[in-house]
Amino acid sequence: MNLMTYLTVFLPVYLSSFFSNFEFHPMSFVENLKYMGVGMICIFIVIGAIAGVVVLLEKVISRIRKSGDDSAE
Amino acid sequence: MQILYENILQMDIRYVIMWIIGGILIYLAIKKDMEPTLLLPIGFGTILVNLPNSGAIDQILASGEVEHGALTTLFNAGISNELFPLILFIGIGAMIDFGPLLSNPKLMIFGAAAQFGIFFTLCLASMFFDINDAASIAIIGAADGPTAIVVANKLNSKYLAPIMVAAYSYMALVPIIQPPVIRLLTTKKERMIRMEYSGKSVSQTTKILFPIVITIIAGLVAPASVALVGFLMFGNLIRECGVLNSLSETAQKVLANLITIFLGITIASQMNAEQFLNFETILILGLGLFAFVFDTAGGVLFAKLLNLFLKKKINPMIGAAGISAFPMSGRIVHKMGLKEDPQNFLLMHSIGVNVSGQIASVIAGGLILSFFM
Repeated sequence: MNLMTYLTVFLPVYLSSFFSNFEFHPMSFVENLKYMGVGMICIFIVIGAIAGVVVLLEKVISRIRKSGDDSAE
Repeated sequence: MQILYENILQMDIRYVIMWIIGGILIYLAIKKDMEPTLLLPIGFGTILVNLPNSGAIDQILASGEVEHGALTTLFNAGISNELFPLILFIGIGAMIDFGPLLSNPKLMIFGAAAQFGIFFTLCLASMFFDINDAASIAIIGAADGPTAIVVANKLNSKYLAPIMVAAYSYMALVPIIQPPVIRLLTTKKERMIRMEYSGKSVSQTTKILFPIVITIIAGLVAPASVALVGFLMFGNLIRECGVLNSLSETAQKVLANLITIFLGITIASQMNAEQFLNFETILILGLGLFAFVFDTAGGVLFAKLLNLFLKKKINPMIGAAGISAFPMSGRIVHKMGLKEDPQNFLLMHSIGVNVSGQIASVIAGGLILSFFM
Protein backbone atom coordinates (compact mmCIF):
# COMPACT_ATOMS: atom_id res chain seq x y z
CA MET A 1 0.00 0.00 0.00
CA ASN A 2 1.60 3.33 -0.95
CA LEU A 3 1.39 6.47 1.17
CA MET A 4 -1.28 8.17 -0.99
CA THR A 5 -3.56 5.13 -0.81
CA TYR A 6 -3.04 4.97 2.95
CA LEU A 7 -3.89 8.66 3.43
CA THR A 8 -6.84 8.79 1.06
CA VAL A 9 -8.45 5.42 1.61
CA PHE A 10 -7.36 3.49 4.65
CA LEU A 11 -6.93 6.33 7.17
CA PRO A 12 -10.36 7.98 6.63
CA VAL A 13 -12.07 4.57 6.81
CA TYR A 14 -10.21 3.71 10.02
CA LEU A 15 -10.88 7.15 11.55
CA SER A 16 -14.58 6.99 10.69
CA SER A 17 -14.86 3.56 12.31
CA PHE A 18 -12.83 4.85 15.29
CA PHE A 19 -15.41 7.57 15.92
CA SER A 20 -18.44 5.73 14.51
CA ASN A 21 -20.16 5.17 17.85
CA PHE A 22 -19.51 8.64 19.25
CA GLU A 23 -22.64 10.50 20.31
CA PHE A 24 -22.95 13.58 22.51
CA HIS A 25 -26.04 14.41 24.58
CA PRO A 26 -25.20 17.32 26.90
CA MET A 27 -28.68 17.49 28.47
CA SER A 28 -28.20 13.96 29.85
CA PHE A 29 -25.90 15.48 32.49
CA VAL A 30 -28.76 17.54 33.90
CA GLU A 31 -31.33 14.74 33.52
CA ASN A 32 -29.17 12.33 35.52
CA LEU A 33 -28.32 14.70 38.36
CA LYS A 34 -31.26 13.17 40.22
CA TYR A 35 -29.32 9.89 40.47
CA MET A 36 -26.41 11.79 41.98
CA GLY A 37 -28.64 13.41 44.57
CA VAL A 38 -30.55 10.27 45.48
CA GLY A 39 -27.42 8.10 45.40
CA MET A 40 -25.39 10.31 47.74
CA ILE A 41 -28.32 10.72 50.17
CA CYS A 42 -28.88 6.93 50.22
CA ILE A 43 -25.21 6.21 50.85
CA PHE A 44 -25.06 8.68 53.71
CA ILE A 45 -28.24 7.24 55.24
CA VAL A 46 -27.02 3.63 54.98
CA ILE A 47 -23.53 4.42 56.27
CA GLY A 48 -25.04 6.54 59.04
CA ALA A 49 -27.33 3.65 60.00
CA ILE A 50 -24.41 1.22 60.06
CA ALA A 51 -22.30 3.61 62.18
CA GLY A 52 -25.23 4.09 64.56
CA VAL A 53 -25.77 0.35 64.91
CA VAL A 54 -22.05 -0.17 65.61
CA VAL A 55 -22.09 2.47 68.38
CA LEU A 56 -25.23 0.89 69.84
CA LEU A 57 -23.75 -2.61 69.64
CA GLU A 58 -20.59 -1.60 71.43
CA LYS A 59 -22.60 0.19 74.17
CA VAL A 60 -24.91 -2.82 74.69
CA ILE A 61 -22.07 -5.35 74.71
CA SER A 62 -19.94 -3.33 77.15
CA ARG A 63 -23.00 -2.90 79.40
CA ILE A 64 -23.69 -6.66 79.35
CA ARG A 65 -20.03 -7.34 80.08
CA LYS A 66 -20.01 -4.81 82.92
CA SER A 67 -23.15 -6.31 84.54
CA GLY A 68 -21.59 -9.77 84.11
CA ASP A 69 -18.40 -8.59 85.90
CA ASP A 70 -20.48 -6.94 88.67
CA SER A 71 -22.53 -10.09 89.30
CA ALA A 72 -19.33 -12.21 89.30
CA GLU A 73 -17.93 -9.99 92.08
CA MET B 1 4.37 -24.76 3.06
CA GLN B 2 1.33 -22.49 2.78
CA ILE B 3 0.24 -23.63 6.20
CA LEU B 4 3.25 -21.84 7.68
CA TYR B 5 2.35 -18.37 6.45
CA GLU B 6 -1.40 -18.33 5.73
CA ASN B 7 -2.22 -17.18 9.27
CA ILE B 8 0.52 -14.52 9.15
CA LEU B 9 -1.18 -13.06 6.06
CA GLN B 10 -4.23 -12.33 8.23
CA MET B 11 -2.23 -9.97 10.43
CA ASP B 12 -3.68 -6.52 11.01
CA ILE B 13 -2.01 -3.36 12.30
CA ARG B 14 -4.61 -3.33 15.10
CA TYR B 15 -3.25 -6.61 16.47
CA VAL B 16 0.20 -5.04 16.68
CA ILE B 17 -1.24 -2.02 18.53
CA MET B 18 -2.86 -4.39 21.02
CA TRP B 19 0.45 -6.25 21.48
CA ILE B 20 2.03 -2.92 22.35
CA ILE B 21 -0.76 -2.18 24.83
CA GLY B 22 -0.30 -5.65 26.37
CA GLY B 23 3.42 -5.02 26.52
CA ILE B 24 2.88 -1.68 28.28
CA LEU B 25 0.67 -3.34 30.89
CA ILE B 26 3.31 -6.03 31.47
CA TYR B 27 6.02 -3.34 31.72
CA LEU B 28 3.97 -1.36 34.25
CA ALA B 29 3.38 -4.53 36.27
CA ILE B 30 6.99 -5.70 36.37
CA LYS B 31 9.12 -2.56 36.18
CA LYS B 32 6.85 -0.10 38.00
CA ASP B 33 5.21 -2.65 40.32
CA MET B 34 1.72 -1.33 39.45
CA GLU B 35 -0.90 -3.88 40.54
CA PRO B 36 1.19 -6.70 39.06
CA THR B 37 -1.26 -9.38 40.21
CA LEU B 38 -3.73 -8.11 37.65
CA LEU B 39 -1.93 -6.00 35.08
CA LEU B 40 0.49 -8.79 34.15
CA PRO B 41 -2.19 -11.43 33.41
CA ILE B 42 -4.31 -8.79 31.60
CA GLY B 43 -1.28 -7.68 29.57
CA PHE B 44 -0.30 -11.21 28.58
CA GLY B 45 -3.90 -12.20 27.90
CA THR B 46 -4.20 -9.20 25.56
CA ILE B 47 -1.40 -10.64 23.46
CA LEU B 48 -3.00 -14.11 23.51
CA VAL B 49 -6.33 -12.92 22.13
CA ASN B 50 -4.87 -10.60 19.50
CA LEU B 51 -3.25 -13.24 17.34
CA PRO B 52 -5.09 -14.13 14.12
CA ASN B 53 -7.50 -17.05 14.68
CA SER B 54 -6.25 -17.35 18.25
CA GLY B 55 -7.14 -20.71 19.78
CA ALA B 56 -7.39 -19.06 23.20
CA ILE B 57 -10.84 -17.66 22.39
CA ASP B 58 -13.85 -19.09 20.55
CA GLN B 59 -13.47 -19.08 16.77
CA ILE B 60 -16.16 -19.69 14.17
CA LEU B 61 -14.77 -22.07 11.56
CA ALA B 62 -15.53 -22.01 7.82
CA SER B 63 -17.96 -24.89 8.36
CA GLY B 64 -19.94 -22.76 10.82
CA GLU B 65 -18.86 -24.80 13.83
CA VAL B 66 -17.58 -23.05 16.92
CA GLU B 67 -14.13 -24.03 18.12
CA HIS B 68 -14.13 -23.34 21.82
CA GLY B 69 -11.21 -21.47 23.36
CA ALA B 70 -10.07 -21.75 26.97
CA LEU B 71 -10.36 -18.05 27.78
CA THR B 72 -13.93 -17.83 26.48
CA THR B 73 -14.82 -20.95 28.49
CA LEU B 74 -13.29 -19.40 31.60
CA PHE B 75 -15.09 -16.12 30.91
CA ASN B 76 -18.46 -17.91 30.66
CA ALA B 77 -17.66 -19.95 33.78
CA GLY B 78 -16.58 -17.13 36.06
CA ILE B 79 -17.00 -13.62 34.69
CA SER B 80 -20.31 -13.55 32.85
CA ASN B 81 -22.00 -14.96 35.97
CA GLU B 82 -19.86 -12.75 38.31
CA LEU B 83 -18.60 -15.82 40.17
CA PHE B 84 -14.85 -15.01 40.14
CA PRO B 85 -15.12 -11.45 41.53
CA LEU B 86 -17.54 -12.58 44.24
CA ILE B 87 -15.24 -15.40 45.35
CA LEU B 88 -12.34 -12.92 45.32
CA PHE B 89 -14.38 -10.75 47.66
CA ILE B 90 -14.31 -13.57 50.23
CA GLY B 91 -10.54 -13.34 50.19
CA ILE B 92 -10.59 -9.53 50.39
CA GLY B 93 -13.03 -9.64 53.31
CA ALA B 94 -10.74 -12.06 55.13
CA MET B 95 -7.83 -9.62 54.68
CA ILE B 96 -9.60 -6.58 56.13
CA ASP B 97 -9.34 -5.61 59.80
CA PHE B 98 -12.28 -3.37 60.68
CA GLY B 99 -10.82 -2.64 64.14
CA PRO B 100 -9.62 0.96 63.46
CA LEU B 101 -13.02 1.75 61.97
CA LEU B 102 -15.04 0.15 64.77
CA SER B 103 -13.06 2.04 67.42
CA ASN B 104 -14.20 5.30 65.77
CA PRO B 105 -17.38 4.64 63.74
CA LYS B 106 -17.82 8.37 62.92
CA LEU B 107 -15.05 7.94 60.32
CA MET B 108 -17.46 5.91 58.18
CA ILE B 109 -19.07 9.12 57.02
CA PHE B 110 -15.97 10.00 55.01
CA GLY B 111 -16.17 6.69 53.20
CA ALA B 112 -19.65 7.74 52.09
CA ALA B 113 -18.49 11.21 50.98
CA ALA B 114 -15.68 9.79 48.89
CA GLN B 115 -18.16 7.97 46.63
CA PHE B 116 -19.17 11.34 45.15
CA GLY B 117 -16.95 10.72 42.13
CA ILE B 118 -19.02 7.69 41.11
CA PHE B 119 -22.28 9.63 40.83
CA PHE B 120 -20.68 12.71 39.30
CA THR B 121 -19.01 10.56 36.66
CA LEU B 122 -22.38 8.88 36.02
CA CYS B 123 -23.80 12.28 35.03
CA LEU B 124 -20.73 13.07 32.89
CA ALA B 125 -20.60 9.68 31.19
CA SER B 126 -24.33 9.79 30.37
CA MET B 127 -23.52 12.58 27.91
CA PHE B 128 -21.55 10.11 25.79
CA PHE B 129 -22.95 6.64 26.57
CA ASP B 130 -26.32 5.06 27.24
CA ILE B 131 -27.25 4.98 30.91
CA ASN B 132 -26.24 1.37 31.64
CA ASP B 133 -22.80 1.86 30.09
CA ALA B 134 -22.47 5.23 31.86
CA ALA B 135 -23.25 3.57 35.21
CA SER B 136 -20.73 0.80 34.50
CA ILE B 137 -18.07 3.40 33.67
CA ALA B 138 -18.94 5.46 36.75
CA ILE B 139 -18.32 2.47 39.02
CA ILE B 140 -14.63 2.69 38.12
CA GLY B 141 -14.71 5.35 40.83
CA ALA B 142 -15.48 2.64 43.37
CA ALA B 143 -11.74 1.82 43.05
CA ASP B 144 -12.73 -1.80 43.50
CA GLY B 145 -12.15 -4.37 40.79
CA PRO B 146 -14.74 -7.00 41.79
CA THR B 147 -17.45 -4.35 42.24
CA ALA B 148 -16.65 -2.90 38.82
CA ILE B 149 -16.83 -6.35 37.18
CA VAL B 150 -20.10 -7.31 38.88
CA VAL B 151 -21.83 -4.02 38.08
CA ALA B 152 -20.59 -3.90 34.47
CA ASN B 153 -21.69 -7.49 33.90
CA LYS B 154 -25.11 -7.16 35.51
CA LEU B 155 -25.77 -4.00 33.47
CA ASN B 156 -24.63 -5.83 30.29
CA SER B 157 -22.05 -3.19 29.50
CA LYS B 158 -20.24 -3.57 26.18
CA TYR B 159 -17.12 -2.01 27.70
CA LEU B 160 -16.08 -4.55 30.33
CA ALA B 161 -12.46 -4.77 29.16
CA PRO B 162 -11.64 -1.02 29.13
CA ILE B 163 -13.55 -0.59 32.41
CA MET B 164 -11.41 -3.31 34.01
CA VAL B 165 -8.16 -1.95 32.65
CA ALA B 166 -9.11 1.56 33.81
CA ALA B 167 -10.19 0.38 37.27
CA TYR B 168 -7.05 -1.61 38.03
CA SER B 169 -4.65 0.85 36.39
CA TYR B 170 -6.02 3.81 38.31
CA MET B 171 -6.02 1.83 41.56
CA ALA B 172 -2.31 1.36 41.02
CA LEU B 173 -1.92 5.05 40.14
CA VAL B 174 -3.58 6.31 43.36
CA PRO B 175 -0.18 7.51 44.74
CA ILE B 176 0.11 9.74 41.66
CA ILE B 177 -3.53 10.83 41.30
CA GLN B 178 -4.44 11.72 44.88
CA PRO B 179 -1.64 13.95 46.25
CA PRO B 180 -2.02 16.80 43.70
CA VAL B 181 -5.81 16.85 44.21
CA ILE B 182 -5.38 16.94 47.99
CA ARG B 183 -2.79 19.73 47.82
CA LEU B 184 -5.02 21.73 45.48
CA LEU B 185 -8.00 21.57 47.83
CA THR B 186 -6.26 22.11 51.18
CA THR B 187 -4.02 24.71 52.75
CA LYS B 188 -0.76 23.90 54.50
CA LYS B 189 -2.39 24.83 57.81
CA GLU B 190 -5.21 22.35 57.18
CA ARG B 191 -2.77 19.59 56.24
CA MET B 192 -0.97 20.14 59.53
CA ILE B 193 -4.06 19.62 61.70
CA ARG B 194 -3.24 16.99 64.28
CA MET B 195 -5.71 14.28 65.16
CA GLU B 196 -5.22 12.32 68.33
CA TYR B 197 -5.87 8.60 68.33
CA SER B 198 -7.56 7.29 71.47
CA GLY B 199 -7.02 3.61 70.62
CA LYS B 200 -10.33 2.47 72.08
CA SER B 201 -10.48 -1.31 72.10
CA VAL B 202 -13.32 -3.08 70.34
CA SER B 203 -14.87 -6.23 71.73
CA GLN B 204 -14.57 -9.44 69.77
CA THR B 205 -18.38 -9.77 69.87
CA THR B 206 -18.71 -6.45 68.03
CA LYS B 207 -16.17 -7.59 65.44
CA ILE B 208 -18.19 -10.77 64.89
CA LEU B 209 -21.58 -9.05 64.76
CA PHE B 210 -20.37 -6.23 62.48
CA PRO B 211 -20.26 -8.21 59.19
CA ILE B 212 -23.67 -9.74 59.93
CA VAL B 213 -25.24 -6.36 60.70
CA ILE B 214 -23.76 -4.71 57.61
CA THR B 215 -25.04 -7.47 55.37
CA ILE B 216 -28.57 -7.18 56.76
CA ILE B 217 -28.69 -3.37 56.56
CA ALA B 218 -27.15 -3.14 53.08
CA GLY B 219 -29.28 -6.02 51.85
CA LEU B 220 -32.52 -4.45 53.05
CA VAL B 221 -31.71 -1.11 51.41
CA ALA B 222 -30.12 -2.35 48.18
CA PRO B 223 -30.98 -6.01 47.58
CA ALA B 224 -28.88 -6.03 44.42
CA SER B 225 -25.82 -5.53 46.64
CA VAL B 226 -26.43 -8.64 48.78
CA ALA B 227 -24.00 -10.78 46.76
CA LEU B 228 -21.26 -8.13 46.85
CA VAL B 229 -21.67 -7.12 50.50
CA GLY B 230 -22.49 -10.64 51.63
CA PHE B 231 -19.40 -12.29 50.17
CA LEU B 232 -17.14 -9.49 51.48
CA MET B 233 -18.64 -9.78 54.95
CA PHE B 234 -18.56 -13.59 54.85
CA GLY B 235 -14.81 -13.39 54.31
CA ASN B 236 -14.53 -10.99 57.23
CA LEU B 237 -16.66 -13.22 59.46
CA ILE B 238 -14.37 -16.17 58.72
CA ARG B 239 -11.46 -13.98 59.86
CA GLU B 240 -13.07 -12.61 63.02
CA CYS B 241 -14.90 -15.67 64.35
CA GLY B 242 -11.65 -17.08 65.73
CA VAL B 243 -12.52 -20.72 65.04
CA LEU B 244 -11.77 -20.87 61.33
CA ASN B 245 -8.15 -19.77 61.18
CA SER B 246 -7.21 -22.27 58.48
CA LEU B 247 -10.13 -21.16 56.28
CA SER B 248 -9.22 -17.52 56.87
CA GLU B 249 -5.60 -18.20 55.86
CA THR B 250 -6.76 -20.09 52.78
CA ALA B 251 -9.16 -17.31 51.79
CA GLN B 252 -6.55 -14.59 52.24
CA LYS B 253 -3.78 -16.36 50.37
CA VAL B 254 -4.56 -19.40 48.24
CA LEU B 255 -8.11 -18.56 47.24
CA ALA B 256 -7.40 -14.88 46.55
CA ASN B 257 -4.30 -15.69 44.49
CA LEU B 258 -6.01 -18.46 42.52
CA ILE B 259 -8.99 -16.36 41.58
CA THR B 260 -6.75 -13.38 40.77
CA ILE B 261 -4.86 -15.52 38.22
CA PHE B 262 -8.09 -16.61 36.53
CA LEU B 263 -9.66 -13.17 36.73
CA GLY B 264 -6.77 -11.32 35.13
CA ILE B 265 -6.23 -13.58 32.18
CA THR B 266 -9.96 -14.08 31.59
CA ILE B 267 -10.74 -10.34 31.55
CA ALA B 268 -8.14 -10.07 28.80
CA SER B 269 -10.35 -12.26 26.60
CA GLN B 270 -12.46 -9.11 26.07
CA MET B 271 -9.46 -7.08 24.95
CA ASN B 272 -9.63 -7.91 21.28
CA ALA B 273 -8.74 -5.12 18.86
CA GLU B 274 -12.27 -4.70 17.49
CA GLN B 275 -13.74 -4.04 20.93
CA PHE B 276 -10.87 -2.10 22.44
CA LEU B 277 -9.40 0.16 19.75
CA ASN B 278 -12.01 2.86 19.47
CA PHE B 279 -12.67 6.36 20.73
CA GLU B 280 -14.92 5.05 23.49
CA THR B 281 -11.95 3.36 25.16
CA ILE B 282 -10.06 6.67 25.39
CA LEU B 283 -13.22 8.33 26.71
CA ILE B 284 -13.67 5.58 29.32
CA LEU B 285 -10.05 5.95 30.47
CA GLY B 286 -10.60 9.71 30.80
CA LEU B 287 -13.89 9.33 32.67
CA GLY B 288 -12.31 6.76 35.00
CA LEU B 289 -9.62 9.28 35.91
CA PHE B 290 -12.36 11.88 36.53
CA ALA B 291 -14.10 9.46 38.88
CA PHE B 292 -10.97 8.99 40.98
CA VAL B 293 -10.26 12.73 41.09
CA PHE B 294 -13.80 13.61 42.16
CA ASP B 295 -13.85 10.79 44.73
CA THR B 296 -10.78 12.37 46.33
CA ALA B 297 -12.25 15.85 46.04
CA GLY B 298 -15.57 14.71 47.52
CA GLY B 299 -13.94 13.24 50.62
CA VAL B 300 -11.64 16.22 51.21
CA LEU B 301 -14.34 18.86 50.65
CA PHE B 302 -16.75 17.03 52.95
CA ALA B 303 -14.15 17.06 55.72
CA LYS B 304 -13.62 20.79 55.15
CA LEU B 305 -17.38 21.34 55.33
CA LEU B 306 -17.57 19.50 58.65
CA ASN B 307 -14.71 21.61 59.99
CA LEU B 308 -16.91 24.68 59.66
CA PHE B 309 -19.10 23.28 62.44
CA LEU B 310 -16.60 21.40 64.59
CA LYS B 311 -14.58 22.81 67.45
CA LYS B 312 -12.03 20.00 67.27
CA LYS B 313 -10.95 20.15 63.64
CA ILE B 314 -10.46 17.15 61.39
CA ASN B 315 -7.49 16.96 59.07
CA PRO B 316 -9.33 17.18 55.71
CA MET B 317 -6.79 14.89 54.04
CA ILE B 318 -8.37 11.88 55.72
CA GLY B 319 -11.45 12.43 53.56
CA ALA B 320 -9.34 11.45 50.55
CA ALA B 321 -8.69 8.05 52.13
CA GLY B 322 -12.37 7.20 51.70
CA ILE B 323 -11.80 5.64 48.30
CA SER B 324 -11.64 1.90 48.27
CA ALA B 325 -7.97 1.57 47.24
CA PHE B 326 -7.01 -0.22 50.46
CA PRO B 327 -4.49 0.22 52.06
CA MET B 328 -2.70 2.47 49.59
CA SER B 329 -4.92 5.51 50.00
CA GLY B 330 -4.69 5.40 53.79
CA ARG B 331 -0.91 5.22 53.62
CA ILE B 332 -0.69 8.10 51.15
CA VAL B 333 -2.68 10.39 53.46
CA HIS B 334 -0.51 9.35 56.42
CA LYS B 335 2.69 10.08 54.45
CA MET B 336 1.39 13.47 53.34
CA GLY B 337 0.58 14.29 56.97
CA LEU B 338 4.07 13.30 58.10
CA LYS B 339 5.60 15.41 55.34
CA GLU B 340 3.84 18.51 56.66
CA ASP B 341 4.41 17.66 60.33
CA PRO B 342 6.69 14.75 61.31
CA GLN B 343 4.78 14.40 64.59
CA ASN B 344 1.36 14.08 62.96
CA PHE B 345 0.35 10.42 62.86
CA LEU B 346 -2.81 10.07 60.79
CA LEU B 347 -2.45 6.37 59.96
CA MET B 348 -5.11 4.90 62.24
CA HIS B 349 -7.63 7.55 61.17
CA SER B 350 -6.84 7.27 57.47
CA ILE B 351 -6.90 3.46 57.52
CA GLY B 352 -10.25 3.54 59.34
CA VAL B 353 -11.64 5.85 56.64
CA ASN B 354 -10.03 3.70 53.92
CA VAL B 355 -11.77 0.61 55.26
CA SER B 356 -15.10 2.43 55.42
CA GLY B 357 -14.55 3.33 51.78
CA GLN B 358 -14.46 -0.38 50.98
CA ILE B 359 -17.92 -0.80 52.51
CA ALA B 360 -19.29 2.40 51.00
CA SER B 361 -18.05 1.51 47.50
CA VAL B 362 -19.82 -1.84 47.61
CA ILE B 363 -23.01 -0.15 48.80
CA ALA B 364 -22.62 2.40 45.99
CA GLY B 365 -22.35 -0.50 43.55
CA GLY B 366 -25.52 -2.00 44.95
CA LEU B 367 -27.34 1.33 44.66
CA ILE B 368 -26.22 1.72 41.03
CA LEU B 369 -27.60 -1.76 40.32
CA SER B 370 -30.86 -0.91 42.08
CA PHE B 371 -31.26 2.24 39.97
CA PHE B 372 -30.55 0.71 36.57
CA MET B 373 -31.13 -3.03 36.61
